[in-house]
Amino acid sequence: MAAPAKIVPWLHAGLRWALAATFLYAGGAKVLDPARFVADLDNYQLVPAVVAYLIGLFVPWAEIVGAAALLTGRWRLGGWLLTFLLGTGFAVFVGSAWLRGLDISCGCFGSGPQANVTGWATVRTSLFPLLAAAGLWYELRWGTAVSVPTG
Amino acid sequence: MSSSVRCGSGPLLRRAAVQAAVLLLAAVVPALLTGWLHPRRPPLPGAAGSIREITVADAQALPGGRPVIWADARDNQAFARQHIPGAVHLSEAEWEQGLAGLVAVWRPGTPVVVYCASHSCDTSRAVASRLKRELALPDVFVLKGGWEEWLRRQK
Repeated sequence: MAAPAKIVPWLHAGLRWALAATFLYAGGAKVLDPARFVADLDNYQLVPAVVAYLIGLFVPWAEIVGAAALLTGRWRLGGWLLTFLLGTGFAVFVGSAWLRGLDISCGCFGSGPQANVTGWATVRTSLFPLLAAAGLWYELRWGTAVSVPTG
Repeated sequence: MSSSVRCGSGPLLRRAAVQAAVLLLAAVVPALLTGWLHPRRPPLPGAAGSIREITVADAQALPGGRPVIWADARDNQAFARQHIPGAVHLSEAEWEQGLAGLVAVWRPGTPVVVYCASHSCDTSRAVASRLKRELALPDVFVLKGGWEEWLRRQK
């Protein structure tokens, strides 16, 4: 199979940096106010309070380390996979709340801009795991041989 | 730059899984520190400070048609200007006075819904936490969106 056009590695790198920046911002905003994020998670009524508590403490830092892995290029395979898993989890939470008609805050960006759970929020949230999956697929398919320099 | 193609993605996928697992482990320590030391750490589940939000619609349609007690956590002036009909004023600045007003109308089994100005204010959560802590009330909620949301729903 022919190598992708020269522009593709740069698009891939742009996607990596954009996804990293988004997760870094989202994780950072949640870390600033973990009580707010746990309350938002609890409002989804999807998991017991103790699980919401643990997710609320753990996930923001997972977002940050995943973003750091993508941003620095070190362990970016793990970064792609981790952001894919986190993004999938967010999409399940937001999508289920939307389907159940819950009128709650998304909690997507912690104490940052507030957005309610809507169909658009579900679509937007679902984009992240799709983009992460695309990035991971590219990396698995073409490896670092056709990537732009890390950094 | 080589144009070679990775044919077997299995090892790479395994490497991705291992790296993701290690990254997840790296998040454990800061998460524990957040739960222990963060000034805005969440209350432990089931602890006195654990508070759930409730929407205006849900507060007005509780199972069994239970009425709620509205507790206004805004300042005196805002409360005097306008408040939810029947609300008691309960701010941290005038806690004792407000608490007496709340206790006078509270009956066992009646949920208390605390509100402040808007979604971004924190006083309702602080008042609700204190109510739970000091009175051990079982059903204390924070109104989602606060007074702003109440006004919006009345239009």
